[in-house]
Parts: sequence; C-alpha cells; structure tokens
Amino acid sequence: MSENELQEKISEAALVLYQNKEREAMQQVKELLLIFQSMIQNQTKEQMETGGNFALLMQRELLENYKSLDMIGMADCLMEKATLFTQFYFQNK
Amino acid sequence: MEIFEKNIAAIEQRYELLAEKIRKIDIDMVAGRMGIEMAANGLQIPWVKSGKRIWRLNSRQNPQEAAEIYADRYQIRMYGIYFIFGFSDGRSVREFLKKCDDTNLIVICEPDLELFAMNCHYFEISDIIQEKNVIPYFTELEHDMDAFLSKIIDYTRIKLLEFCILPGYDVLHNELCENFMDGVVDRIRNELVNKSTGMAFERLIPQHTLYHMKNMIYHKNIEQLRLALEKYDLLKIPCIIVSAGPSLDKNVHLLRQAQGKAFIVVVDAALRTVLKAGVRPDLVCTVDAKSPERFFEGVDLRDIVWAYTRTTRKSIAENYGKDVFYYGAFYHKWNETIKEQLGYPIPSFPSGGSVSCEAFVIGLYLGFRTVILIGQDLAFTGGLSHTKEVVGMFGDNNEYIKGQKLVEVESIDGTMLNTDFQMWCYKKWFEKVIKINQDQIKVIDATEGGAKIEGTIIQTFAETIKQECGESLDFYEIEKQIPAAFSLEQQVELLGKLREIKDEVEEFSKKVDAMIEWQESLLTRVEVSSISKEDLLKELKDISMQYEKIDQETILDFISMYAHKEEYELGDQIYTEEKIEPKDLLKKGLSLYKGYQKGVKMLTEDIEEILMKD
Repeated sequence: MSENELQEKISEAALVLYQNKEREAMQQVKELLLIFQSMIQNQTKEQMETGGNFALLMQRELLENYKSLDMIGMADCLMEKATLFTQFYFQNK
Repeated sequence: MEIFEKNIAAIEQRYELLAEKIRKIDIDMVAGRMGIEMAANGLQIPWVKSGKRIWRLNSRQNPQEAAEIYADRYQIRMYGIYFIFGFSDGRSVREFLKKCDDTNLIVICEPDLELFAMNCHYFEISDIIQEKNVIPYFTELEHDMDAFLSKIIDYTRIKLLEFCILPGYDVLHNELCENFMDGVVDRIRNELVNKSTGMAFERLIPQHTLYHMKNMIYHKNIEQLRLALEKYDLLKIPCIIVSAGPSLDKNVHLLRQAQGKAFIVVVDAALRTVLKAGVRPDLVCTVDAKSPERFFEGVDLRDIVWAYTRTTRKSIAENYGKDVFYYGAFYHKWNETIKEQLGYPIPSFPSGGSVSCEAFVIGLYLGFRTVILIGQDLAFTGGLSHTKEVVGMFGDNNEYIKGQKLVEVESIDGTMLNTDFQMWCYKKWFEKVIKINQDQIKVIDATEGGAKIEGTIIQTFAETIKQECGESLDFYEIEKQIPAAFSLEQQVELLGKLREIKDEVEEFSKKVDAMIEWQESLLTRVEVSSISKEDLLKELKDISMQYEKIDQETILDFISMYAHKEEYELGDQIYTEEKIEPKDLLKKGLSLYKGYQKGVKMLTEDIEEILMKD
C-alpha cells in the first residue's frame, strides 16, 4: 500500500468515526490496526531508533480507544499520530 | 454580557425551569468529573470522566471541522423530525441546524444536565436555544418521557423521524440512550395503535367522550378516592388487579379471602368470573368502547363501583353506572373547566393500551405500593385466551388464537409460550412501568401461569394472600361515603358551560367552510391557468399559514376524531411524497377540510343528541 493510499484510508476512517457510524468505523479501524502492526514490525533498525516509541504509543492509543469504543478518540489519534507515523514511515523507508 | 448570562437569558425566555436548574448547578463542584480543554487549533472542548477514562466530547484536533463532518452525515428531509442524543459543546448541533429549515423539528436530548450547565459557561449556545424548531429534553427535568414525546410525535410524521447520536454519548450513556430510543419507538407504536383504534371505532369514541363529559358532572372522580384513602396506611395493604387471563380460573376461588384486606380492582372481562366466585370488587375498570354487553349479562351489577374514562362504552354507563369514579383526559377545555370548579385536575394516566394497564396505574395513583396481579397471563396459557367466563364471547379459542399474530415469550416457569403482538406490547409496558417505579413499589405476579413479567415477584396467590393481606379496611364503605364531586348548583352551571361547545363548533364550522371555498377557488384558477406561478406560491403560503392557525383551535381535537380517515390519508402521502405539485397539494388539503366539514356535521348531531337533551 502506498503512502497516499494509506493516508486516504486513514482520512476515510476518521470521517466515519467523527460521523459516529460505529459499525463501519470499527471495521475500518480494525483493518488499520493490523496495517500499523505490520508496519511497526517491518520497520528498519534506523526507523525503530528514531520513531519506534512514537509508533508504539500511537498503536497503543488507537487500540485503547478502539476497545473503549471512543470514536472521537480514535479519529483524533488517526488524524494526528497515525498521519505523522505514516509520513515518517514512508519517508524513511 | 458574559457567555453564561447570555446563554441563561436565552434559556430563561423559553424554559424557565431549565434556567433555574442550571443556575443552581455549581460548576466548581463538578470540576473533577468534567472540564474544558484546549484543542490543537485553540478552540475549547468539553470532556467528562467515566470510570478512569477521560472522554473528549469533540475533537482535540479541530472541533469545528469534526462538527461539520458529523452534520454532513445527514440528509435532511422536509418536515423531518430529528432526535439528537447529546449536545456537547453545541457545535455539531449548530452545523446540523444549518441544514434544516422551518419545516423541521429538532429534539435535543442531553442526558447530563451538569455537563450542559458547565457548557453554558464556556460555549455560546444562545443561538441554538433561540431556534424555534429546537426542543431540548432533559431526563432529569421531564420525568414522563411518553407525555413529552406525545406532544412531538404524531402519526402523520412517523415516517420522517430519525435518530442522530453524537459520538461518545451512546457509550457513556448507553442505558439512557436506549431508553430514549425505546421511548420514541413506543410512541410510534402507540400512534399506529391509535390509528387502528380510531379507524375501528370511528364515531363511537367522540360519542362516548361527549356522553362522559356530561355524565361526570353527576359523579365522583378518582382524585376524591385518592384523598379519601390518604388517611389510611396503604403501605400495609395491597391492591389486587384481577385480569381476565385463562389462569384466573385456577385461583379466583381464593380471592374471597382477600376481600376487605386488599383493594380489589377488576377489569371488565374478569367481572363475571369474580362475581361468580362470590367476590364484590372494590372497583371495576372498563375502558373499551366496544366492551361486549355479554361481559355484564347474567350477573348482579347493582352494587358495582366503576372507574370510567372517556372511551368507556356508553351503554354500560347508561345501564349499570350508578356509582362511578371518573379519570382521564376528555377534551382539554373541559378538563380545564372541571379543574377550575374542583380546584384540582381530574387525574389522567399514561395508557399502556389495555384495561389492565389502566387498572394498574389507578392502583399506583391511589397510593398502593404493593400490587398483586392475578389473571395477568399476557399469553395463551394452555392454549387458551381468557378465563372460561369470557372464552365463549370470542368464539372457539383455537380460531381466536390463530387469528392473532403470534410471538413467543418466556413463561413464569421458563418454558416458552405463545402470545400475540398486543399482549406482548402490554407485557413490555408493565415491565417499563415496574422498572421506572422499582424503588417504590412491589409487584407480585400471582397469576400462576402465563408470561414472565420482568420486575415482578412470582409466587402463588395463596402464599401472597397469607403474606400481604394482614390488615383489614372496608374500602367499599369508604367509596360509598364519598359524595358526588359537584353540588347541585355546580352541576347546573357545568351543564350550561358544557353546552357552550355547540357555539364553539358553529364558529369553527364557518372557518372550515371559508377554507374550503378559498381552496376550491384557487384550484379552479390553477386548472384554468389564470394565476401566475408567483401568485400561486404566495396564496399557497397564505393558505398554509391559515392551516397552522386552524390547527391551534382546541375544538379540532374533537373534530379530528370524526375525520381520522382524511387525516391519516394525508399523513400517509403528503409529507413522504418526493415531489408534490401545487394542484395535488391543494386537492389533498381540500380533502382534509372536507373531512373536517363532515366531522363538524357529525359532531353537531352528536352534541344535539347527547348534550342538549335533558
């Protein structure tokens, strides 16, 4: 998945989250969690050293909001941290 | 002016009680549970704490944009009614309102009054409060949700209702959110039932209403009974509601043991069974406008004390109604007149749809806190529909049951039983009322059969009598001692006032005739194309304004009962058709007004027959 495709997927998920379309939103976030998980595992040593903690923090926050069904919490996390992580990940790939 | 003062002034203009409550809330006291924080773009947002978790009620990134995104979700329909659960900082609601027009109605339910109060200090919301088509709803202020919703939801617009829940509110206030939605769904169901009832009974209900408005002048009311019983300690005495389910035959013989030790309320269909068991009820409820005459045949009804309401079959009252306690909403103006004379209103209760539901709320209203149900099967126990004294009246049981739409419910012993949709609704109603009053009442289901009613204690009737019926009180004697509600002088005065309704109908008739003439004239001009589009739209707008004025006339409540068919037809078509031509709109309006014209004629005939004759 390219950076643009992933950023678009993040924006789409944030949109349905802010709209409180719960079922649709939860499905999209579930997919993103798996994508981020795989991205974190595939990070280079260099990426891990510079942005490893940030990635884990983002993933933990998203997961915690996901478990609590906090739509706004998930959307904000996606719009802020997930977007930054995606940029960072693809820039340093 | 500060934000809070500006908001509170706007609230005060429309909702004094709400303003008063908000003023009393000290936001410093709630500081640990909720607060305000700054979003990334500098705007403020509210948060609340639930458990160990902080919930932001708008985006920490860009709250304004998040609000716009939320509102974008909805396609607003003309005449649509939107129930928004949650208010937060008001931004989403404001964006939502921008998409609405004056045909829409927006009901905002904020489940947390303290949060709303805090937000009044930080967010400018006076513009939202001032919108005429916005109605706020707070569970803490409006205890009777059904009464609140009944003012908003009517049949004509049930296809145009939509729920909108702000993010987080359905999780934070899950139960309240479900209750709110259930309340709306219940109201929709009631409207559908009312439609069927209205169509089935046609002219009977307004005729019975007129009859009882007159008859009640000479009788007593339920409030008098409540006041008479107030002197006694009803905490030690139960009220027994005797319904006509098939299980009544199992334990009605025990009812005599409770006579004088419980207040026995019997529904009309169970009356024969009860009288044949040698029991004299303390009160008999009969509500159905078509209660079969055979419920009352072949038994001695001379000593019966009745509870009547506006729908009660007229002939029952004419033949047997010597001692009657009235309750209910008849015609708003009449209830107001009666209230003025009495100094208190005639009690009126939210109806669950069946006579047993009414008997139950009467028991609670009178002050009983232990209610025992017998014959309350709410299901076809043993494949039967009613107590054997009633069975024959509805023909063969199998045939009767097959004719119903069946639903499966859990029985009191955990097995599954068939019931019909109506009884299922009654069961749900009982469960709701019991839940609302759970801390104040004890409800024992001593039916010994039928559907399990959540919230009740299930035990045998014998056990229940032993446990609950220890104190004696001669209710029947207390009832007999209560005089008629009005003196002879007041009775004469009230009859005179009641007869004034005839003049009111005549006045209304003129307005209806004028509207018909106006609409017919415009229709002719449209058909021969002698009116420009601009003039047509202007005249349609004037007609619509006149509709709204006439809609406010209280006598229309009465006329509507005679014009159900036309009103429901209008509701089925006018608001839901995507494109409606001015000509069709006019034709439909005309049809409604011709329905009213017919209603005026029938009401005038009934007033002559029922009210004007001595």
